[in-house]
Amino acid sequence: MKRSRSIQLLLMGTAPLLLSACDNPSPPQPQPQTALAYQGLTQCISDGKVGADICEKAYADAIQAQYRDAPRFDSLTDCQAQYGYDQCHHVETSSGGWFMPALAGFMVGRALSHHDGYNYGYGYGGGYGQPLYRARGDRAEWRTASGERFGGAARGPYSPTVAETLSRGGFGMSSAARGSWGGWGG
Amino acid sequence: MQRVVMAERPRWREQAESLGFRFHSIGGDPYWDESVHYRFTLAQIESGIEQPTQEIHELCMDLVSRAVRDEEYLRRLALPERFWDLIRSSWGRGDPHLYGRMDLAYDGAGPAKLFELNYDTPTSLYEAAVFQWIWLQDCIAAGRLPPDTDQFNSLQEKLLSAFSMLVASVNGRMHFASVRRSIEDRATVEYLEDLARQAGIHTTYVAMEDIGRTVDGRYTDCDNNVIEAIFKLYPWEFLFTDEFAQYLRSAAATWFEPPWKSILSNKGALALLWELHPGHPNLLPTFFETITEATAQLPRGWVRKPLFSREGANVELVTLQGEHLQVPGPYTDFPYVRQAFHALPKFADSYGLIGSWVIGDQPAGIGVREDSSLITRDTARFVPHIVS
Repeated sequence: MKRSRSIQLLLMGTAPLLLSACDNPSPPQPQPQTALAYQGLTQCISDGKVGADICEKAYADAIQAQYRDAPRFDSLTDCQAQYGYDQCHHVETSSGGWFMPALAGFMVGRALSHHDGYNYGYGYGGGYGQPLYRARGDRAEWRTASGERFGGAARGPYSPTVAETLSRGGFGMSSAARGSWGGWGG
Repeated sequence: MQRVVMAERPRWREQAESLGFRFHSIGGDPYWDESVHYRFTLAQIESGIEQPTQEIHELCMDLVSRAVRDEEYLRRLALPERFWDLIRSSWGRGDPHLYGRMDLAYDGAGPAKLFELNYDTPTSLYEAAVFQWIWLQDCIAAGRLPPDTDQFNSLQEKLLSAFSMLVASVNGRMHFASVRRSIEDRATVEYLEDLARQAGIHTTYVAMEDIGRTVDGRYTDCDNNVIEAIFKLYPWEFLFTDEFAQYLRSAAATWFEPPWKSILSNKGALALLWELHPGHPNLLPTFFETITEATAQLPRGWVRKPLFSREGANVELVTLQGEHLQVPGPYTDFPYVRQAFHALPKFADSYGLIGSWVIGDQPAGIGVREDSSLITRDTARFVPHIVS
């Protein structure tokens, strides 16, 4: 398939788009919070944050997706090198066999700080339900099928550096000089 | 490759509004146009577009690696000398880039030809990544297209993946900026901000005009928070001439797209690519206008483009038959390149141009723009496509 498997948006369409200025601040917007992911179906259902039907759908999606998406290895040792000694198993299909890491968990969705709901299956395509793995030597963090670290939002509250601003308005003049030509994308 | 006429979904305008696609029409005329779509075969997509996109992208990366080692390139691209170090160090550090779009002329048979690179501030992203994807899902769900119909469009997936890779390097936080008066740019930035948040990045929007500076030359947002990593939908060539550009070094912010992208968002890159790879099947003969012997070699038809220009502005064109076309615009103060004329394929009364996206370093999908003119302008309609 040459297209994205699912599309989910958190913000777009939920609030009017403000062309805000510093003297006319826009209201605070929701920021990402901890992602919702579970090791197994029972854990998801007993946690009760989302309905059992959503847990079941996400789990089924993850099970199905791993045969398509999970990293594949020709040898058991290559797989173990990345995912750990007891984490890999052999899969045999009519079109051949390979080794892949065991499913360590599945993603259900992400919460937004301004409400209690989880964005699962929002809009189109059925949302997440993606399989998660644990890499060797980094058991604390989930990895997606493509090996990316998952759960960046769980880094804890962000504390920005605040500094006194001397002046503003030093960017954008070159653009204004070109008149009402609209935006600068192309 | 076919142009197919098909009825619009009756409620697409309401859907566009509710999903936050705010610029679906321009002055009452549709910008999003689903009364037609383009149909490609998988072979056309993979051999005709995806593979050349990858190849051209690699030529571009190679060009940047040459330009940062040779001042002559930077001079010919008319990049200001006081920022050469910034450009060179951003490449040397390996500053990551997010996305780019190349515009290709492709008729379904011959080799795709590179018209332009939009590697610094490309737009038409949301409609390519999301709205044409939703259009296809809806058409399949309604039984109007077969269930196995596909689309060359993994833009959202690849962008999410690109942002996920960035979380650590931007320390979990990014600012997003565009100029205040453009609703279209603001919407493109909103979409990217949405994806960044899904990847777990804390984001803040700030208008370019509102960015502040501190006594020690760092940049701040409206809440006086220091800007450490920022995505700007604002061209480097303008940023370089702004007053606050003098703090680029002291601010030490991580920029998206990075300063080295200024080498590729410049039409001079098209001339340099041709110089380095003359006769490449996916490139058109292109020369700096100053090289008169070289431009004299151009065939009868040619296109004249300022080094910095967007949406077809200030482009002048002479066809093989001697027909002359010109689009006015504000970019008159830069050198020009001349590119050999290559006709866009014509379907019914429209010319179709393919915007082929590169996310990170991978081809990621396409969007088709249609115009009644040979020069694709900012009013060109965006039409969806399918692969079947």
